Amino acid sequence: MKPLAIEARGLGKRFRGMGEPALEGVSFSLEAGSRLGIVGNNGAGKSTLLKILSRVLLPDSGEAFLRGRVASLLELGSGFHPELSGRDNVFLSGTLLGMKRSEVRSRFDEICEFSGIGPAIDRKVKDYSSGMYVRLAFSVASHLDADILLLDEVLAVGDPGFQARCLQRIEELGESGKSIVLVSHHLDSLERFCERALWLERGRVRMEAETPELVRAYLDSLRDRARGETPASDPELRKGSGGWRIRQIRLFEEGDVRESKPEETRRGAPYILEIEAQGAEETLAQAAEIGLSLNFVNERAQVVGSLDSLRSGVWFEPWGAEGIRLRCRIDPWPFLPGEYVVRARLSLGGRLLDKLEGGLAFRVLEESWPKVVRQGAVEIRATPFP
Amino acid sequence: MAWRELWDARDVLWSLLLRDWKVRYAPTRLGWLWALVQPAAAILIIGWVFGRFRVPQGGVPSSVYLASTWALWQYFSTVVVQCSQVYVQNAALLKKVHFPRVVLPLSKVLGALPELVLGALVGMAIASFQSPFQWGWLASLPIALAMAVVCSLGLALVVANVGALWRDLGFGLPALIQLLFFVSPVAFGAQRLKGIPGVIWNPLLPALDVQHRLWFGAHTQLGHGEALWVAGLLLIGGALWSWKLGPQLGAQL
Repeated sequence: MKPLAIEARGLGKRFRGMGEPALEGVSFSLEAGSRLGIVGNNGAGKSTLLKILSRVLLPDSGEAFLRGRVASLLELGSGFHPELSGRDNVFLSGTLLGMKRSEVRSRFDEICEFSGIGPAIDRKVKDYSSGMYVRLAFSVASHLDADILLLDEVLAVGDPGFQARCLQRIEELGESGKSIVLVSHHLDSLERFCERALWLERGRVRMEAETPELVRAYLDSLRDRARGETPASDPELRKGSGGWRIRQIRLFEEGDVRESKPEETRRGAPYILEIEAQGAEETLAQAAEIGLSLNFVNERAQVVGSLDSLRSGVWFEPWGAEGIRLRCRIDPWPFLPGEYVVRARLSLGGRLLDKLEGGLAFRVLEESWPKVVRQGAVEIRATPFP
Repeated sequence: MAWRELWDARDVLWSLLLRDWKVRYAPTRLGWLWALVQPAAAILIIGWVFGRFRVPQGGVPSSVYLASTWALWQYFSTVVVQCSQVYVQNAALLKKVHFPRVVLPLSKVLGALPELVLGALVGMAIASFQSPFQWGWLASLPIALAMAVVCSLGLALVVANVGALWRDLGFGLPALIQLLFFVSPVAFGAQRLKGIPGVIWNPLLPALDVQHRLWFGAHTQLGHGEALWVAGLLLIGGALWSWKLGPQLGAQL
């Protein structure tokens, strides 16, 4: 058996003023040279766990042992100062993340080259575009000389091209024998990199298993929750300033009075989407200003498309007592066969009123003819162009 | 353990010092000239006011008195004010990166030393207009530097911790600094402080009084023992407190 790089025993953490503990009785271990992914909803305790492992937070109970040099990346560009040049920031951030200045110096050319910043390295960082900033920050981070790397969501930034290079770089680091803990919502990348994964729910370990098995179980639970009769009842799926609440999201094929099996849809058919929300009576007049945005998430937890009501020119209207309703037609239904979950947000003038994770789940049925090659998630239609 | 970790963080300290020095005057037009202009203006203005009121200084002009200690006073007050906010200002860093937290107040204590040297040189230049230049003034500089760090380090650590736990400090500090100005021998000799209760416990007293003695040979018969005890206790207390509080700062801020 390989030696352990990380051993966590019964980690617990409670923040002041919070009822539920952020973390409770979390134990796991990581063999040297292997990679562990961590998944869970927002607020499940992923970041808290990573902060305890990086020694930014002290646990209230339990212990964590990390053997070897640790580099933790809880954000990109830690310590970056806008008034300093890219070069100075590489040294500053590099030393803060645990390198010696001599080590940064010996790796400087490599860091600079990976970032692709070129001569702009001597310009002030405040003049950088956000893309350049992120590229430089990741370059510093990925050249840390550590035995254990703790990474939080750092993959979720930058343009797709750079993201791919980041993933490749992390893969290289993993192959070079470093132990990695990766927190990410990108289930795809977790499956690619991590042999094992840990699923946190409300501060506890819900499951620890091989990654493919765990991802399957995690997605199943997301879908199960979305299919539930009363999505509003689970407070973990709700966020927002209150006042307004999404009561129901319904989907049916146009002209289908029976509303048969709403969660089984056909690609290309016209569909009616109906959303009801509830709020205080005195705010009913605002109904037309309330915006609805829907994200359609596939089984890989990727957002494959979104709908913005105000931009589409559809509005909420008063509906029943203390209620508003929005109905709109989506024609043709653009999704390719697969399973989808809808994430809905209500907002008023930029302020989030309510957010509902998985208020609706549906499946798009396989078609017998014409046979669809299941690549991607959205159908792109073309018509002849003279 | 703690020492080892602090020693390993020396490169972090150096990076933070370089950052502060490069950034401090970066958006200004005069840049580091401000480190000369500021003490010169303060010495001339306050010296003129004290001169008009004819505060007796044993034959030494007020501005010369001020010239000998102004840079030191400026150093103390700057370091204390900066340290009171150092953890709050770096909260984002403290919540994301692990390093020995005392590096931050340390970087402020060391980071203000260039201004201390430049300000002291400005003081000497101004003094030499009104009284013959003495080489002893230059010799007093290294002593001033050492005393400044010794007398301020403990205070800086304590103030940094207090500032992290109670934001009120930011509002109360200006008044405290003003009080400290009038119970410290800055614009006048330490003999004028005799009789003020508790003044011998002022940790800044030795550094300032030693300058006056070196410059003017003034014998104030004011002991430094008590004040050095206070400075030492602040240092030990501040270090122990920081050692205990440091790892918790990520959750406190």
